Amino acid sequence: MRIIVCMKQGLDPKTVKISRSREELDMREAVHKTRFADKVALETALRVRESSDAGEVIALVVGDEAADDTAREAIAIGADRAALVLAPPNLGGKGMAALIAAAAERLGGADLLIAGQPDEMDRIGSIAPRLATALDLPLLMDVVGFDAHSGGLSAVARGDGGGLRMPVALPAVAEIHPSAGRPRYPLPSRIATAWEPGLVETWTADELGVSEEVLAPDTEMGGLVLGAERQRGQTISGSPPDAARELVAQLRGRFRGQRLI
Amino acid sequence: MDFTIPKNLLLFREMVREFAEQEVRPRAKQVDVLGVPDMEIVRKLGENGLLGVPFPLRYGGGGLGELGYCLLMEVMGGVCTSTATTIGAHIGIGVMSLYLGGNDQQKDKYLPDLCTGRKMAAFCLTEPGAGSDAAAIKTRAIKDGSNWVLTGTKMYITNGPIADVMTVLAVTDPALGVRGGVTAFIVEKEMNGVSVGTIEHKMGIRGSATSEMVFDEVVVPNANVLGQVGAGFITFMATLDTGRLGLGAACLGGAQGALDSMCRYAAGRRQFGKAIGEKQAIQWMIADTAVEVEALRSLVYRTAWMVDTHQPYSKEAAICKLYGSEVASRAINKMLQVHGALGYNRAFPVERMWRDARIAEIFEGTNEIQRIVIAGQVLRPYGVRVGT
Amino acid sequence: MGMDLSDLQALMGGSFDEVTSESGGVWVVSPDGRVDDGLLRLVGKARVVADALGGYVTLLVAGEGAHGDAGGAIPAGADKIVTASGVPAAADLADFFRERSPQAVLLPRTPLGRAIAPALAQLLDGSLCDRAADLAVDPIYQRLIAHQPILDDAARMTLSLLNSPAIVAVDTDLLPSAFQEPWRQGETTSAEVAWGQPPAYEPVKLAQPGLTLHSAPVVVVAGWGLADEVGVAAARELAHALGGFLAGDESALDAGWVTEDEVVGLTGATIAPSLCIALGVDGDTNFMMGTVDALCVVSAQADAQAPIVPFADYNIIADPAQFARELVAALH
Repeated sequence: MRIIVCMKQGLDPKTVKISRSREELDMREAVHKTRFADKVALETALRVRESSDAGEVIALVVGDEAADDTAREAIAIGADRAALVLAPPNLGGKGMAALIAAAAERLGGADLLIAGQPDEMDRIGSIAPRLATALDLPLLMDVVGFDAHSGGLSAVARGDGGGLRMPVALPAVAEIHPSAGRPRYPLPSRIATAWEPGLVETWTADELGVSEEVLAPDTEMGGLVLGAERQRGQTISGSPPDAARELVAQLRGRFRGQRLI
Repeated sequence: MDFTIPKNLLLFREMVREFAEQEVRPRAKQVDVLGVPDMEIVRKLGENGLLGVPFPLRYGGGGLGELGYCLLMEVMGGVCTSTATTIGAHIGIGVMSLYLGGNDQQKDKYLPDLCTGRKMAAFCLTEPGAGSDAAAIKTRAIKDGSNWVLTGTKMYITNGPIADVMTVLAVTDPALGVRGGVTAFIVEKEMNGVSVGTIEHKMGIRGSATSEMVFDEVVVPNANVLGQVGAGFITFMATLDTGRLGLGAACLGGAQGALDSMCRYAAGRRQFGKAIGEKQAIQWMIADTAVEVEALRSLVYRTAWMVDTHQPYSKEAAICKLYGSEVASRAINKMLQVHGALGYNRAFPVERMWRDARIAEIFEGTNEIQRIVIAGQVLRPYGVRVGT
Repeated sequence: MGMDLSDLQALMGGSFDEVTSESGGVWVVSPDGRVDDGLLRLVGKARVVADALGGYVTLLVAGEGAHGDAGGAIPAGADKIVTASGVPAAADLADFFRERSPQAVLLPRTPLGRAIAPALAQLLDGSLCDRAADLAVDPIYQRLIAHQPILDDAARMTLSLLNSPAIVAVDTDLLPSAFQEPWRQGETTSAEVAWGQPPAYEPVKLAQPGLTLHSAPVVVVAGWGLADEVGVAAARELAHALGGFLAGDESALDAGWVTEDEVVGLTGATIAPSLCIALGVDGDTNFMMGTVDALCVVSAQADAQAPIVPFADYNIIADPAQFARELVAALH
């Protein structure tokens, strides 16, 4: 069974600040690194390989030259092979899917193509549905694990309020939910050899036969819309019942997206 | 001159940081309170390849050399000194003595288990009457056919209670003294006559196990002689040289941790209407610490590079230990001062770090011995003899 | 600038008569037929966008009959409702929309929406934002702009969607409330298509990670001001009502209300929950440095001069135990 894990670098959110005065992101200390969601996806692939006692896990990284480090980190974590597709910084979703599809073919195809969930600051969005469409393969979303058994492969995904088990008809595409499992640490012995030259097959879009048109982005970043500045020291006055109601209203407005209150 | 750390070591450092934050830091307080090593942490260290970091891949090691080991000690030293001490005694002197002095059969037999943490190591040199005066050891090994019979008591042995494999220095010919009369042996805990003696109750690094090791007519096969008969002192002194560097790296981690802590607190604590970090007195404490940490870092990393490129490093390693332990003590003392009364509170890690730091100037060769080593190296070209 | 005739017309407020009934416009899709408050908010947002772009708002309701009253979509801003049976796959929707050339297709950001939106963009060669909290219209280029929240919604990135159709999966919780305009008129028709049914999968139990001090999004911190066990019980009830973790400051540890692992502060745990509710906590440096990264701090305690007052986002000067009880009541 061959599993290709689609990976890319992402921004470390701790290193990105908001400049309120210039109404833009302060990227001076911004660091790009291997995404946690991709490490979870890689961990899922490694567990499938271990449970079925056979198979190959290939890390397919799309990015710039610095993304070579992610490819090597994937090998250090346990991938059998890694490949890097050099892509322009303004890559669109369609282009990303085209590059992955072409690279996957060069790698000899895959039984499972998996990807991690996009981050907050991702401009491209989920790539798994695009891949499934482009390659005409079944799509699984929010997967938290796979079970290899005599009958084949089944997946467990997060459903409404619980999990759902579904049979997997290979080949298939899956997006892994970040709660799928804690990524393992890379072993020092694998780290020691992961930067050997020639270990990562590297291709350009040209070499994969993907045209510049296809790579063009379908979105354009504008400015930043700032949220309300944090205001400490406010007091809610009134009787305790009134203050409680007012607080609940304020918190419900503040935390609308998170379903906290 | 290229000062960049190789990319694989950068990844390694990141991995150790994540491991230390997730697995070690949450248990650091408990380890100190309970006064015993956390064997769960030790097991995880072993499973994740962190107990054989500098040793070659062929022995199941991490293949990351001395710089890799120093990065490991630096990170751990900033999170939990007890754990760093357990690792240091295992890798830095326990397994290291075997690696430096062992023949191929011994290395093939013992290193794989030790590098993966399946077995733990300890280094047995010090005795009640032989601390700085290591040559005054009395543990005796007497030849008996194709075996040696070992009798004696070693003291202040880190990892003693948890070690499976120990390297032990014993007198084989009293007449010859250290030059030809002492031999190093590989002793397994399971051998008859080996027992753990009194456990030390220490001021600090309480989560590191320290005890006497008692050898009561232990029969050790000749195959377990480490290095040449009579040349044990050389192996042990060479091991101590390397061990010093690891300790220096742990001190670097402790000092950096103190600096980070000081800055965080100085930014958050407000007095006289502003953060205390805006007061010059505090700023100077922080600046002085930053200066020493920077200097120590360059020193430790460069010495590690010298080890990895097979250059002589005795003097530099001794400087790392001497300077590192003093820098850490000064930094941690300043950290306590910046935190004020809060730092004196036992609920806060500062007082633990303060207790943990003090031993660094004492063990692994007291700082007085380090000065003698350094003086000896520096004065040698001038023909001046330096000794105890 | 490169405007063409249609841009000019739109700028001058082209009339609906020039818009063909089936092309252009903003479509809102409920692939599983659910019509809840979130979907109605999305319809309202579609109305605002369509008014700026010039065009109709059409709600496509699929699924096995409507879950909820689709009729409510007209007062919420829809011009038309189109029903269909079955649950469409992205390919089905692509075929459907190829005939209708919408300018924008909006879906709620449900698991189904997240699976469909990127695939639809792939099939129709459209623009995609699959994490929008709000939508705007670029007045010059007459294009949709999606607002994507970042850094815990401290700010939103604006993404111009260059291609048509613009496909957007919207987090409807973050939209303003739905319109209620009963004077609106609209028609409901059937698309006369029957899509497939999604397969039924076996439900399984997922291991739920336990709530910990560091992972809980809401932490209630008990302090000295709670006075006694009765007060702590009120704090515990509040934590339970919010699905949060009950912690304490150093004084709570001394009083035996919490264990060492449950102490918040520099000497205990430094936490960064979304919401921290401090009850009867004075707010010394120890506590404040341990909670400085919390997104929002609420404090209920009796002293208007306490150090916590300038630190907390919201202060209620009252008896903390009594306030905790009132808060539990207000939540229900």
